[in-house]
Amino acid sequence: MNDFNLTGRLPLIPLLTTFAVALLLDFIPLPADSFFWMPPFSAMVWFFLILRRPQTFGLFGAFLFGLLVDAGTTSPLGQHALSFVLMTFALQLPQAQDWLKTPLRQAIGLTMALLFNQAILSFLNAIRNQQFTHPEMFASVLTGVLLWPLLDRFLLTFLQARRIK
Amino acid sequence: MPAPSLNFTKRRSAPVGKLFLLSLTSLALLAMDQRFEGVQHVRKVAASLTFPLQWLASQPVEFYRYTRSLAQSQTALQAQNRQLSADNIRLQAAAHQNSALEKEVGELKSVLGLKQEGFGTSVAAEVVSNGRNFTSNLLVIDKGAESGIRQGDAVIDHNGLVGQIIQVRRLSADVRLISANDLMVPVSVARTGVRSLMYGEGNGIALRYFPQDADLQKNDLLLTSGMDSVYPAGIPVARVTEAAKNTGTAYYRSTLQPVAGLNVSKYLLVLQQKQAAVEAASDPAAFARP
Repeated sequence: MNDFNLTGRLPLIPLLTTFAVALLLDFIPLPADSFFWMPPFSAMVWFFLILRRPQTFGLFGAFLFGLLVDAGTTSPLGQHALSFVLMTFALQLPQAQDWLKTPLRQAIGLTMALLFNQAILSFLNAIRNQQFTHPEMFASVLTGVLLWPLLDRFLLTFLQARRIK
Repeated sequence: MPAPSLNFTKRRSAPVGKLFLLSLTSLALLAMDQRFEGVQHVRKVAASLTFPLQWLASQPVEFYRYTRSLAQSQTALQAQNRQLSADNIRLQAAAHQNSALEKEVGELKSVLGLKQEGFGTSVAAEVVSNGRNFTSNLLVIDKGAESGIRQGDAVIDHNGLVGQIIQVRRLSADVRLISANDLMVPVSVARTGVRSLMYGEGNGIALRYFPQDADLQKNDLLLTSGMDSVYPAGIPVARVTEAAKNTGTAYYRSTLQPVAGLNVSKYLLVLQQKQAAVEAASDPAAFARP
């Protein structure tokens, strides 16, 4: 069987590696003005886990993961935590879970989730700093969606590879 | 190969209560970040967990810089070397001149009974994270309490003032940029010596209350005035790019450009505070004493 077994235990080391690599990619201190298109890897990995393992990854996990992203990207504490919590809640609604069953719908769902995520970050930034985020930051959503099929396939293979043995 | 299964084995009802609680907690953290010690502690713990990853993430950028420097032509490097040698001679001459002047000022101050101020000891540090955000006003540096850095220390780059240390961990520290909202820096105009306050405005810096009866011109350089015992006097802070007298207000309308590369500089220098300033910073009640 080559399916992603949703009832079994997730392999801990590959899972921790996935989190670490996602955070690592988000933490690379590239200049924002020329690398605005870099996709939000942490949000994408979290979307994948919510999509594939909603019974394991919930709101509290989203909150903690968001706090780590905040601390690592020097964002105000609570900013990513709030956006991840809201994104997780929306994706865990039964209607959303029923709808996100085909690759096309997943891509649309990811687009909406990343746009929602970016909109919350921009809104909080506008309130906190009295300034609007540069609109080109939304380009990261596009690159994220383009990368999604590859990331989805890779993570499925990576996370189930050791469990098939 | 069959398509991956998407059948969920367990379905939970939407946890509205948990959503409400965690959203409120996130909003509370946002509101209290950099204001309350408890929240600072949460950030400290989270930042300690992420620091190894931050350090690791900064290595590809380092490698890119290194390979780019290797790729530079011999001629360009020789030209740069000549320029640096010339700068070094000029700076050494200026340093000799300054030390003579400092000695003279020190003698005058001792005669007048005033305290001698200087930059004191400093620690070189490297930026390991600047956030992937146009509006981030925090930097993480790779030196912390182990290197003698303390909360409140001023941070400069080769051009001028970058910010202030707001949180110190064992191996890293957070620097709040001078452009951060509501951060104030006491400054003086280098040309006239008139003192004022410079404010961070999130996306820039401003001189909000510079009186029209004083003189302010385009290209004036603002230096730290040293009035707050946090920033040593004489550090370049900003250059005035526009200064105009407004009708209907007692203050100049001005725009400023920070002289330091706030989100660009990779290497910084942390200026350690004098013991008296540290004691004052750790005892807020001291400010209220007569």
